[in-house]
Amino acid sequence: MRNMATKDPTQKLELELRRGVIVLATLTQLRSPRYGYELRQALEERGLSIEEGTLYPLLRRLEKQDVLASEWRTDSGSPRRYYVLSSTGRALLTQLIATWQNLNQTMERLLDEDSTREA
Amino acid sequence: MKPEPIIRKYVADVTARLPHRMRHDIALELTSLLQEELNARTDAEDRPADDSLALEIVNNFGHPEKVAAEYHTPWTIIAPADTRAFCLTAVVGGALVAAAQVPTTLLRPEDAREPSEYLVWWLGVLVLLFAARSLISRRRDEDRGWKPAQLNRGATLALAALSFVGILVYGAPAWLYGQLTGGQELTSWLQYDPDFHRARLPWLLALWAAQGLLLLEVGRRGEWTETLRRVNYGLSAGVIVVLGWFLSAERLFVEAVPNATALAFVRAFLFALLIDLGLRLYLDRGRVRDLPTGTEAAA
Repeated sequence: MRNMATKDPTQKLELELRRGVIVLATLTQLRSPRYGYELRQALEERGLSIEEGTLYPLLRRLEKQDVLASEWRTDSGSPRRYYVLSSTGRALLTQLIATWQNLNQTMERLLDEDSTREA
Repeated sequence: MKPEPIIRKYVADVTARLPHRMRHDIALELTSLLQEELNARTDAEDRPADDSLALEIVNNFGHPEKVAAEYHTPWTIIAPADTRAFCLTAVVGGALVAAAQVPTTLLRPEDAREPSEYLVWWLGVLVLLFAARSLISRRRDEDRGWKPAQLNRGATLALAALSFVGILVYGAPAWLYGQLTGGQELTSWLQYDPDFHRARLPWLLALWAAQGLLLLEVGRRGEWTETLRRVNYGLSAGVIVVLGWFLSAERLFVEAVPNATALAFVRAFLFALLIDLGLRLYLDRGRVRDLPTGTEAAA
């Protein structure tokens, strides 16, 4: 309890907030096959930087849940594991996008109310 | 050191923490990804692929323990939620195991063993039990619902009945024996000491009767209320005091052999009751009390 009170919780809370969107962000980039490093670069280029140690294991977990399918390819020399949305993953992505949009609207309303009250 | 051995050692350190079936595939992928990262950084920053860059990359990736945990949630031998229960059981059980050795140490020192042997045995048993519990809980459906703990009415009423049977067995053994055997007389060996029978035994029987009635009430209500709990503590303490009185008076039966045997039983019973009461009081100490009811909280 003492630690919680003395340490600045901002970083931890921001990290938790970002974690909530990692799965959705990852799925949006896997409509076509990508290997781990390529995916990380694609997300980073679009403004979402995800730690390697978080992203790569996440891909394995999503594959285990049948959300992603994967295969090894050796097109350009070194072997790479490519991930792509499975049919379950595509259905899940549609559902998650709807959930995200609803959540976003709700949050916008809450934040608007909050800024009106403050003003 | 070249970067490849650093990456290889890092990958080996991560995969050593994973189940065998996952290791090869993850090692292959992780090596490929780290190598990819190394090449990209070398190109982007125009620096050689040396050990310092490799170390930077693997450290950015995360400590092998953390990365392995991301790939596979390891089985916790003692689930975090069970830590308190484990500590309590270890301490109380350890104390009991040590106490159980005291008579042997005093009466037959040549047969006595080091207390640490029993304690290690006890801790080993506990770890196995909690590990099994953790494994079962891990395999259960995580989305299972929660139901409030229900009082076992059957067991409570059975315990109440046992109190009344105890009163009959200890209060009127000769009469009961006669009823069960068609009028035969109980052996004079099991004749109570007159003072004990007249002045001390009735106190115990009265306390048992009160405990029996209390259990009947608990069974009828279907729960322990704060008042019933307090009355139970009082009655338990009363039984302990009365048994202590029996021990101090030393005479329960007329004959020496049954008297010595009965005193040994009373000692063991008293010991068990003290532990039971102590544990109940300790566990009850942390119970949240005086919560407002729904209407009070709303008001």
